[in-house]
Amino acid sequence: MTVVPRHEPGLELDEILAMLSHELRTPLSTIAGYLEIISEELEGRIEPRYQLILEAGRRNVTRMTRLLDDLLTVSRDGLLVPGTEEIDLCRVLREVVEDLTVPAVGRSVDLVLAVPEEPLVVTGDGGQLYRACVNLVGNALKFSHEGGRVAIGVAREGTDTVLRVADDGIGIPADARDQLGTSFFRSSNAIERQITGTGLGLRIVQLVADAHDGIVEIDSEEGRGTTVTLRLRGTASDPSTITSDD
Amino acid sequence: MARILVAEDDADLRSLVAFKLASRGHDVVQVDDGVAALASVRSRRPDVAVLDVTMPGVSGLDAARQIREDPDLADLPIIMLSARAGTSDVEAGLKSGADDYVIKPFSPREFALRVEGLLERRG
Repeated sequence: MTVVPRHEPGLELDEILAMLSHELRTPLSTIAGYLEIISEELEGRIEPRYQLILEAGRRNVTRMTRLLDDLLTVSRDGLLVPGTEEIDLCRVLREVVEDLTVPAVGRSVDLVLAVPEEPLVVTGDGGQLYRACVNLVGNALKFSHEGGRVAIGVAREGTDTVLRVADDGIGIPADARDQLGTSFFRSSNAIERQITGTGLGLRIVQLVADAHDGIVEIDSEEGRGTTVTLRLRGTASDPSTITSDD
Repeated sequence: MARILVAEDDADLRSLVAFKLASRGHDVVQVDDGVAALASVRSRRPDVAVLDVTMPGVSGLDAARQIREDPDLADLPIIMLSARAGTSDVEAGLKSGADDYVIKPFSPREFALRVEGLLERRG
């Protein structure tokens, strides 16, 4: 007879996260798949209220898929490898702003994008850079007050390419700054205001920065707002495109 | 219409994939592990094999390698289905000889189109 130990020998957190990210995908795949099939089969012959229910189901499958992708990224198996694509950051930011327009309008937050006309190309992974940008702008939006403003910009600074997202929202309490970028960490004012989130967004921005030889800088004051800078070092390869951002 | 083998140990997901492919007019054979998948490709010779990566006994990766090593089966189109989404997992899937690697969760419609696209490319 073997007695199952009451306390399991330590599984590392990132091991558990990797396992969860793998194990939840198969059941989620069945749910997502049947929702899609039902939507297709009933298209045009379904009462609007049931249509809304189906859409809510599918929207939440997408949400859970993103969460699983995030868990994988911060887990043992989630190593981000540096990409070799030529990515125009202006285009990435335009896409991010377009994708977040609906939630921004919903909260009357102005997303103000200032990018140069000409492409600002860096070498990297397009999917990862999109995720970093969508997390930065998404966070700024989430932590903004209704009617607030989020300024998004990218420019060359010396040999670096620098992306900045600034909001005039709730800011980050001083005592939370040491823990920023820790997986699952959420600041006290975000919890008090019941702002939803997993505490993985900034961690993923940091991991994407690492994969692109970048650094993430945060300048924040509680009650005044936050500016996050993603600095991709040594990415301005063509000196003729180097401009300074005053 | 094509003859398609679907090897997946999760019964619900297997039924879903089979349902979708059958609804598009394909002839689908379902098995729930790698050993049965290998037996089925040898006896029935499908036009394409869909293999789940993590099946009991012989995994989808091992099954794909064995198929590629068999001169009679070496050109069989293979699509891998996987709950493992890491970059190294995708690499391992493609290195095993799979033509395509689909990460769960996936859209059944897109999946069927990928299967059909692969069949078309292989003529």
